[in-house]
Amino acid sequence: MSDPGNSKDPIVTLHDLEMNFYKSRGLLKRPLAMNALHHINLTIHKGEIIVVVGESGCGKTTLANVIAGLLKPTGGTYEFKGHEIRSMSREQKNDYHNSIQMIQQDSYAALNPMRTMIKSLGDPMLLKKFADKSNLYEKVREILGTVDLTPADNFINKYPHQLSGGQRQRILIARALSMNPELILADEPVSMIDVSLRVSILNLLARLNQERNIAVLYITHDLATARYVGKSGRIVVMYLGQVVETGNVQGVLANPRHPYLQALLSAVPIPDPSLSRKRKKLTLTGADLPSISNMPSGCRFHTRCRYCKEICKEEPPKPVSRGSSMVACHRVDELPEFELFTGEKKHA
Amino acid sequence: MPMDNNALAQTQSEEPDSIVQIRDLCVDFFLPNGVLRAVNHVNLDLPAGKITGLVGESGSGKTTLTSAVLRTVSNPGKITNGKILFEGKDIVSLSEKEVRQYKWRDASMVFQAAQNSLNPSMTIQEQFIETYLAHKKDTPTKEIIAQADKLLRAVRLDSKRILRSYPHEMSGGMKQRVMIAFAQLLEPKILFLDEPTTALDVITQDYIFQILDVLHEAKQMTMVLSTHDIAVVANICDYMAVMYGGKIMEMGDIYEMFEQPKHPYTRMLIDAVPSLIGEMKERTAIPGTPPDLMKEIKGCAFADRCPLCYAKCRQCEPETRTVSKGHTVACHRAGKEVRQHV
Repeated sequence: MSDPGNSKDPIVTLHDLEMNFYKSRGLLKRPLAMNALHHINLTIHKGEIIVVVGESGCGKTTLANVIAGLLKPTGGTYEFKGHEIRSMSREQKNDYHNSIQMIQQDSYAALNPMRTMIKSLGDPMLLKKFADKSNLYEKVREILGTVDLTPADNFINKYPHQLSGGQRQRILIARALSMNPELILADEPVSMIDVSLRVSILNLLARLNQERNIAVLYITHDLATARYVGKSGRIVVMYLGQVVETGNVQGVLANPRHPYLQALLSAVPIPDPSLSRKRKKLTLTGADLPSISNMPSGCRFHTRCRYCKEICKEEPPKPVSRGSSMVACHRVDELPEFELFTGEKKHA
Repeated sequence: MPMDNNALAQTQSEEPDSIVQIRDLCVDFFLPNGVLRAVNHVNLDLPAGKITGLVGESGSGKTTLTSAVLRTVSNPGKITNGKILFEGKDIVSLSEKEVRQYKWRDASMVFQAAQNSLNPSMTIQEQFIETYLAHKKDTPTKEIIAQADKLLRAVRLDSKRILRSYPHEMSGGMKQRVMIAFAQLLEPKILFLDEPTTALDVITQDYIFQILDVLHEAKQMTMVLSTHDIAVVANICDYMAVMYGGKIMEMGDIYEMFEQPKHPYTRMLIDAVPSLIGEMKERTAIPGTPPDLMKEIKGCAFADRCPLCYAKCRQCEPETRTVSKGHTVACHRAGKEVRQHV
């Protein structure tokens, strides 16, 4: 797939990436391959925001883990700044590990409960030589300041359990920032925080993206926050390990083409009682995701698709370009135009 | 929009009877380092045959309030004050034996973690039968299974397979639907749903709310949905009650609450949620943190985070007053414009 804005420096380039997990079936049988990512093509450029959306089990987190280097892909190529991951020098590898940082979903599980914040934040900086003992406190204070945890001295000697969920999430962002990253992988960073505090974390991510030119890969199943964070960025919609639609956030959400994205959109609750009751109900033919150990043939979505035809069951669709987006659906040109509401048109 | 006006007019003309009346309720937790008042002198009427949304941040007392109505507050918690009238009968003074009959038959609940509500070592069928027999002895097994089959089909599950399955054989969404079927086994008059979809995906969430909507239409069952997601409440509820620091801040018809929220907290909650539609404007989070319920709160609980706070808010607690029919608010500055200050 071609990406808009190729002139910018790519940080990460994935080409036909495959990720299989193997499940042992005993001594005599061959292990069962479960395909978590299939033919992923993605380029992440400096300073851009990409949102990845999909249901749980669609491979969003696996994708983040592969990009972060926590999982080794079983096929395809993965280049970091033009260098293939597997054949990088030690120096390049060091740069790779520093440049890509992750913000985890569960802030309580991601922080060591026995360590105070100065330990959790300071030790990596000492180890990676971003600070030395003389200026460690100063540096940590500065980073806590950037994530709005002020006054920093109130937090520096606290343990994780003494902080609220929102504060812990900010600590995770601070920890990612301390490595001076070029790309932050944010895996559902707000799904465990209260709605009233969510936007403050999202605003912080957007600010870091703008002020420091850090690229953000925002992973979520919530299209409303995806639209909010993404604004001018790109969106990648995933289903069962495949990319089904991609393009710029505004364009794709205003004019969704893939039936899966249309279903996702019509399932998002709208915080307005009169509008939400005028919404069209788009029904899928099944509520549950098929098992990845028994992947559907052809188009992976065909078991739940309302528009499924014979060809969908047999042949996997190739991504085609429509407008500003790329869509992988056999029937993309035959589908009726998508409307979120019955009656009057939406005012987007 | 004609639809809204109709709906508004309807709710205003016919005041629904309330099935549960909570009067001056306090629930205290006796902890080693002090007393935590999770529900603080709450007065609330739950309209019969309607869906009421109970909204608030975590720690605002939603779960404690619903468990008080179900009489499931457990040690170190205790109901220390007030009455809960269920169809005129005081729940607080029921004996243990009477409570067992009241629970599940009159009022049932679907919990947040459905995964933990089912017994992992029994099949669903065994669990259905056990529960049924605990309330109605001497019912033939066939009858119970027929009932279970009907309920599981109503939540769009393959009942033959599900009845024979153990909980670990099902996905989170399926377990949650089994719990919804379970909660209706004895045809209760009121159903409490505590964050029923928090751990689930949007599609599954939408599916579950469609099912609940259908069930509600069919049986006119009273439902109470506690959640922190205001968008979910906007989608299916008839009424909304906003809880903060163990108190009800505002309660009223859903359309009126969204169009003319009177309490600054309600308005800020609505403003904090990103939406899929409409213009892309910067959203603002509510600054600050919820109050420490171990300390005694003087004045309004929301004062520390309120942009409209003035001297009176810190001195005396605002009384709950009625702004229009069925719409109550507890704020000294109710109705003042908030947006320009935020």
